[in-house]
Amino acid sequence: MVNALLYKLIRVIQMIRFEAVRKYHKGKDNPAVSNLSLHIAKGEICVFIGPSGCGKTTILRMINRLDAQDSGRISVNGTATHEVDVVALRRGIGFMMQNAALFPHKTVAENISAVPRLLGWGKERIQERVNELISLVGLHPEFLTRYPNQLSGGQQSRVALARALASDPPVILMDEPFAALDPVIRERLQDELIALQRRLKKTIVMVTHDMEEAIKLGDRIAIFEEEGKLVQIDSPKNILANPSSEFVKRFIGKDPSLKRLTLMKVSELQRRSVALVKAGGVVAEFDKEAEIDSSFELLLNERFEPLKWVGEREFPAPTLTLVSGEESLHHALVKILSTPNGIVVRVDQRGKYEGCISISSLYKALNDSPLESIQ
Amino acid sequence: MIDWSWINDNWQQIVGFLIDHVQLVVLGLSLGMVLASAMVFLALWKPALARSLIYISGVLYTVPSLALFILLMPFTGLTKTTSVIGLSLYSLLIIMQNVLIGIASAPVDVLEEARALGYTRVQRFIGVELPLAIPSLLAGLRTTAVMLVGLVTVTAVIGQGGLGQLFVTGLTLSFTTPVVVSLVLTVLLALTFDFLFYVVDKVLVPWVR
Repeated sequence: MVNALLYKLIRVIQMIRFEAVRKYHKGKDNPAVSNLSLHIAKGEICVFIGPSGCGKTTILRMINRLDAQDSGRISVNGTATHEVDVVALRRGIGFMMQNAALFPHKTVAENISAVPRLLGWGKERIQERVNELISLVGLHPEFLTRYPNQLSGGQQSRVALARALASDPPVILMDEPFAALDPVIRERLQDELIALQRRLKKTIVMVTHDMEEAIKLGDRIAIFEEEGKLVQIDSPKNILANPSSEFVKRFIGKDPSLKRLTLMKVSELQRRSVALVKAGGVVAEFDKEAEIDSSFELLLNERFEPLKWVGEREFPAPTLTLVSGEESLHHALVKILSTPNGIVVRVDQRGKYEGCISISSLYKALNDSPLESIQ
Repeated sequence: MIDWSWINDNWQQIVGFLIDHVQLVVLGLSLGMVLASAMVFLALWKPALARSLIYISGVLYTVPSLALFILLMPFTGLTKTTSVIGLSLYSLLIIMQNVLIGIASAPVDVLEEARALGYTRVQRFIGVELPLAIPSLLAGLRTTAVMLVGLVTVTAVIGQGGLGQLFVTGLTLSFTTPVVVSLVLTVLLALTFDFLFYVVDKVLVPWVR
């Protein structure tokens, strides 16, 4: 009884399961994937990363049986992939390739509606869905009648995303979807994917070779080494804070601390203060101990909005730099480095004083969180 | 140099030859296409066969046209059949090669994407591989048609030949007018076929820039 319930619960939480999966490529003695077990949760973006030839793409392609495993079990949504019709399986899983790989002889509308047409949807339903998708991926409806060679790389990627989403599949597989785009467009599409995912809550499995992309997009990152061995799978934050091996450390690059700062928000910091002065000369009572040393005091107005730095001495007071809780610590660091007194003032959305941040707060945040994440 | 009165007296016959010529080209082209399709299906069904099929049709192509028509004569005589068989054999190689190249040059990632989206093998062939081979097929037909317009004149040796007959007449009578008429009409016909396929290409393949 309890087991059955537990099993049901696992089915709800885990969308994709690899159990002891092994795969050999033809004519090679070493396995492409050796004994992989991996669970991907419903609604998460799981990013596969690893050196080229490590088998990450093969692992992705095994999910919809573009490559078949030699042994072991892969299940999607509770059903073993080798027990269902492969065509039906693929139609139920979105797929997006590098370079978009649109059908060059079909219009944008025909490209987007490829899977619905295979599924035999009615004309009106297809039309409706296509219109819905084109605006979802941020393209003007006038693109629908164009052919892929009339689109830019970024636009092609948007169409490919719309095509992958067309039948509203719960799982979407992406094989280096943004790798061929220029950095500006890539970043924009990444941001839009994050925004889309907030609404759609798909289970997305993405292969990339770009650690920045993995950190930015992944709810979890799976790092593989040769022969498809899973070295570490965890949230970007935890991987950066506690790389499990030298291999992972090398892989995440030279400046994991900086990368972690991009992941953390100002609102995660503790409130620390300098001495505060209210307009009218009353020292604010709510922060008696100034945790940050400053030769200047911060002047607030009646609504607790910071006005300026004030000092007793004749030195010119530094200009006031504000930061909001939503900004990343990376942003905050840049601001701290460019203020003369090394202190930025945190305000809430309405501009009310919330605290002060200096370099030591960042230092503390970076060195505290490993302890928190060990659990 | 040109005897206009001869043209005036014989225009009905000239038009007859022209129609004959067109007929031979169209028949040769159509039969060649049917043969080529059969070969293409064979080649796709048993990929190992593809190479030998191309090889065989390549050998056929190297046989001089005059010799081929004469070789066929004992079997089918001085008939249209002889000339159509010969003409379609020559079309075969160009059309087949173009279709096979067209199918082979379909972008690998596009085919892979079709597989990933859940196209069956047949759907992929009809929906992706064939349409992508159309430009190459049309290019092949265009080349073949122009080539056939010239080749048809050769079949005059077996009593066919459309406008080619005028060459023979002119040569035997040492009379230039029929030769010039034949030459001009043949060139015009070749240009017409070329333009026709250009238009078909523009209509059928709107997706290539």
